[in-house]
Amino acid sequence: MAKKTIEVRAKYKNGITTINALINHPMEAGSLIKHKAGNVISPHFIQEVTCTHKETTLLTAQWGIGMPMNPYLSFGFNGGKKGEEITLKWVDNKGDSDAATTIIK
Amino acid sequence: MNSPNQKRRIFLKGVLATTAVSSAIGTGLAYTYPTTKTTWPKAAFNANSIKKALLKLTGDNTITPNPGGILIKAPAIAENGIAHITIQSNIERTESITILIPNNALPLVANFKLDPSVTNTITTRIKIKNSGDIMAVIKADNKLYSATKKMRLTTAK
Repeated sequence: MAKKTIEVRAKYKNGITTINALINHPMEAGSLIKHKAGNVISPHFIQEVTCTHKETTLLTAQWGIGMPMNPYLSFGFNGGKKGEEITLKWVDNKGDSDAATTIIK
Repeated sequence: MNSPNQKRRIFLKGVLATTAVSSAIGTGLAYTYPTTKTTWPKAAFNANSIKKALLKLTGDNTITPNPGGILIKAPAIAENGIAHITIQSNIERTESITILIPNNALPLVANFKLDPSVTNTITTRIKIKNSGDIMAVIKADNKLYSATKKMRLTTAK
């Protein structure tokens, strides 16, 4: 995707690194209702989000259609240092994906 | 013969035919997720009850209620169908946090697999379609623990 879809920030405080992420995605649940044009809205949603730090997968999130548009995620982990990298990646059901890297502040 | 306009007509016919078939299938069956090639647990997300979803996801469906060990921070009223929720697990060796909404046709909303270094607290947003319970299921030491929280839905118009 040409457009940046992930907004991710990581902050270190008192031994815990907190990661906040906001992903721009329609998270379309899909519908089988027949519309005027005769088409059906097909589902389009993020299925998997992974967050890695130094080759350790901190978190793997598996999402369904119950997640809303532009999903938000926040969590913390013990460890990390200022200046280290955090990578967040998502894959959706149509095979689209995006990744973003941020530096712990 | 094959003017651009005719090609367009053929293309449109094809589109109409395929949508007609898919909608015909759709009316006969309950909604199911499309097939994809990932490690995404399709069977669990397609399950129509909590027990089935957990069985497909973790291989186990005996849940021990543990309201003291799991804290769900969520507003009592979900405005516009979206709720900002925090789930905190005080259970040791938490492996995963699962969010379920029993009232949904497909109850499984999200599953978070955690590394041991993660602080066992997840904040996210979920869609609320009806007033009812939100359920958090924690997997720790191959056992499932659960807690629920009631939420009411209001829509602003």
